[in-house]
Amino acid sequence: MDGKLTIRQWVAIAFLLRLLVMPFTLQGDLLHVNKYPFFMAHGDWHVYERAASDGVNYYPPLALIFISAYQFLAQFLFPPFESFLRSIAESGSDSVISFDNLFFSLFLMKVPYLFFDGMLLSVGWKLLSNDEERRTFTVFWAVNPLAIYAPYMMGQIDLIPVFFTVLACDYSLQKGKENLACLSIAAGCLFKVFPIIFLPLVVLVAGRNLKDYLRLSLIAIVPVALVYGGFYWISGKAVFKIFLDVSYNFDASRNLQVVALRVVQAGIYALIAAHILFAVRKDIDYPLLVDYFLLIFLAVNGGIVVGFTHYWLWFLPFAVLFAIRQPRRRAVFYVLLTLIFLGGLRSRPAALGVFAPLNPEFFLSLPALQDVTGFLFDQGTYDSVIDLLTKAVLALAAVSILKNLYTTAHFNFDWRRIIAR
Amino acid sequence: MMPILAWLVFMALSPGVVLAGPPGLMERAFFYNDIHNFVGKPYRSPDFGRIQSVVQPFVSNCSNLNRIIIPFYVEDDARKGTLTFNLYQTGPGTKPLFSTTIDVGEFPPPAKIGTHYLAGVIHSIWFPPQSPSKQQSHFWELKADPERPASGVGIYLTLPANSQLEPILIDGVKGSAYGAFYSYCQFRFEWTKILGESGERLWREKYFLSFYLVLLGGVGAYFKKYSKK
Repeated sequence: MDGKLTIRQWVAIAFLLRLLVMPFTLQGDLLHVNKYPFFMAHGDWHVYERAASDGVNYYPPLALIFISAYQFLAQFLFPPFESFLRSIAESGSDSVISFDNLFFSLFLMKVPYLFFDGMLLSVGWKLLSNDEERRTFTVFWAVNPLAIYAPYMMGQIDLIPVFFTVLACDYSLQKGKENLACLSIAAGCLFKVFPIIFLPLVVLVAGRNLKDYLRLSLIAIVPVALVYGGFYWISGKAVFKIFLDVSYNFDASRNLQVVALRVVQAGIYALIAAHILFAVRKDIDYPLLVDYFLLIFLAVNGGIVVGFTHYWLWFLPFAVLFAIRQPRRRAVFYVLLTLIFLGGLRSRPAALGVFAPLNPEFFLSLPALQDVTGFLFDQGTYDSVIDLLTKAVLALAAVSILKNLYTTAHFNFDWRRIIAR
Repeated sequence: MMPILAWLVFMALSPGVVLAGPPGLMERAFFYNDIHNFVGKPYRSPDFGRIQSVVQPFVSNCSNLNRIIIPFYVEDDARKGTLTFNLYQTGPGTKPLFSTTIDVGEFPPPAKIGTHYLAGVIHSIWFPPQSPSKQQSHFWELKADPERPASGVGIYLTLPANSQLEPILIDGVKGSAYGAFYSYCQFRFEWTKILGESGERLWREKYFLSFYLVLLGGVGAYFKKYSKK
């Protein structure tokens, strides 16, 4: 069937698959994403304090502003949507499942993701060199279960910072758009924290000398500092709660494993930086840049829990771009997707229960993957095996890419050039 | 393939197991979590060495209520004694449904509860499925056994309101807190009821779904328009 479909038809399939799940799926994360912006859309700016007093954190400020603004506009156009959001904010998650306009409201909540999804697809095309590659990218993206599950079923906002990361990758190599690359990183990390790890990479690729590095760094850091500063002025230190709570935080003081992981991550980053500095600048093309981004993702994702399915969306566009160029290594991509599936869908609301809007009692009564694995195996052993296998695959993929970087024509070690730089 | 195979093995084994004695596989596999009230910032109730009983009224929103899970906090060295668990249905008159004893001395050492920062023992109480239980008022009660008084143990309380619960009574005194616990119903595959309820939910949003179908049709038309000649 694949051979008969055009790229536009695959875009239609992508759109269709997403539309099919949008109104009928709900998971707690979607409610969390939309709960706190409701207060801001109604004039209460002390959202971070409110979240902290509920014992939770909320996403960085631009996520809050963006979703508040969207809710503000959407509730004018569609008044029942306001009632739905109010019931999330005031009554909690239990009451919304019986709401009269549930399907309509779930659909509306996910509409912004469609926009960013489309944009991501178009930026992805720009990173590829021919129509056949673009078509393959569209196929991989259209039917990818992670790309459908995380934003459209789970309702997580990760797709937005992922888009900005891919955009930063695109702008990094475009002459005159270096500033935009850094602003994209800034925008991404104002939606979720993780894109900040790519700032040094983007600065190294887009800059040419120390002055450039400083200027580009400031272009990314100043907007972030200003926005956070504004919210710190409103909400105090509650705005920084997310940095203390995130699972990939930097609390390495009490855990040798975390220290070892950070050393490996820093080592990989250093090797990438060395490669950029030692490679001839004109040799840095999009395939090489995608390798850099993917390597950093592989290093970072080695430190996160396999069961946090939506975090894996972060590396997905780069993994797809890599898999397109390296057909013989696609098996690694498929193995990783399988491991993400086997390590995820742990709770009933995250598994088949995600279809609860259609019939809560039925879908939430069906076993999750963890119920099945817990029945067949010792769950603790199963979790450890999946975790170790995932880390092993990530490590192998990272070593393989690094080896490739340092053994191909890209690597042109020349001390005179380095000194001259 | 592996997950599908695991699923098939699981599903194939499920019906072959005797259903009478909970926790049988059917009860463990297909259930509905009706009340999940281990929420907010749970805190410790008074130790059962200092109180006689706690009573938690609740309304079940599902049929075949068959399990209640109560997270206990325990003092690892000092826990001992027995508690009596009673389940009642209220309405016109109070009807006892189930009673069992909980030997606190047999509790395992406390462990971290789920993703919470609290430690304790999660204790499941299975009982025969109660039908009808949907929209029925119930209460569960934990009583100290006068012959083997319990100590070094208590339950967790929490403050966020839950529409299915009334505040807990501790030694007959009602405060503002609720018991932190979970309740479950066994799910039964009554397909007519399942399809009927799903259909009702879809019909409720017929206007939106009409627009939605038009949108899907539009995508289908776009797909057809750009097919290779």
